[in-house]
Amino acid sequence: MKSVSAKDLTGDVHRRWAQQRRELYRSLLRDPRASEATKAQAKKKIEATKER
Amino acid sequence: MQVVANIASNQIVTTGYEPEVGGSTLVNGQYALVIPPGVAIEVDGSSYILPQNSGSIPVQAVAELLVRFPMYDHVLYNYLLEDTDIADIDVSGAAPQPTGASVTPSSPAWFISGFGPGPNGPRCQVGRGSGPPLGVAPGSVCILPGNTNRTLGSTYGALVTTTEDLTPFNPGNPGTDDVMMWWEVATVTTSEDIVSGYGVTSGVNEPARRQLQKIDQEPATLFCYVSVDDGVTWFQANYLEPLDLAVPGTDLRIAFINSGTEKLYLLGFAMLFQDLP
Repeated sequence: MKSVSAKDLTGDVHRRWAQQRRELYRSLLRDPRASEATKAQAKKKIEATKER
Repeated sequence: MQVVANIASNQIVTTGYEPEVGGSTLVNGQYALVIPPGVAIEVDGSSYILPQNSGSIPVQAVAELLVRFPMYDHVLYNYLLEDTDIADIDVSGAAPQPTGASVTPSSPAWFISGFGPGPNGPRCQVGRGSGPPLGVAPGSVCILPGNTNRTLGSTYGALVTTTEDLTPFNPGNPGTDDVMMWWEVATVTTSEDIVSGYGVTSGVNEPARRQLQKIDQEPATLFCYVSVDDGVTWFQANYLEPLDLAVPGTDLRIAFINSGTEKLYLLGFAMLFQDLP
């Protein structure tokens, strides 16, 4: 099947995707009920938005 | 949002909002490319559908799906437009199909109603997957209705994809266990071509009209399944709902099952998925 990966996104689409992802996972980082494993995963997801 | 294009040239004819459920779109000599809900793309004079490269409408639409659902890392999609798209559908007799014993949740409605897989392969209608692109008509791929006339047991209509290896997406830790499905199904009606000089149709001169009917995307008799072990086990996916597959795998297949009485036209589908942590 044809595919698109987040790492292939460029320009405005990448900017909006990165912003959406950071907002989503930062809320997890602030959640006191989230486990350490979940927070580590959230950090990794946020880091991925900088990999260009 | 939907884009309507000429079926022969793939040139965009019109664009606009999709009709509500129960509404219809005239598709004589045309086909509709449906953009997933919540996704907004700009269509102008320079927009195009084919080839499906980074500037095309299909790719823009699924890229926006990633923006809409940023927890996912990749999206696999198929708008069933080209011969290579059709080649992603497994029509062989050996294609694995969901059974009552291989699906989660167990005992789905189609199984309770006595439906099982077709013995000669998935019961679907597709164009040509290889050779010259003749016979590939966008908007014509169907999941056939259930067949209750077999003495050996009723069979559901099914469309099953070929195996997609997920390894290249994340070679270091390949596979996924977290996916979400989007699809667009519709029914089609075609009216009679009437030219009459007598009776109740006297004076009527109407062409046959082929109309795409917008339907609810989760009719009770449509089931979507995802497998990451090449069709050994299947997990039911709901429309745009995250699905946890419990055990990660790399050999992806997607199946659509129709146990209803109407042929369902599949206009496109996409699967978003996450890399393993």
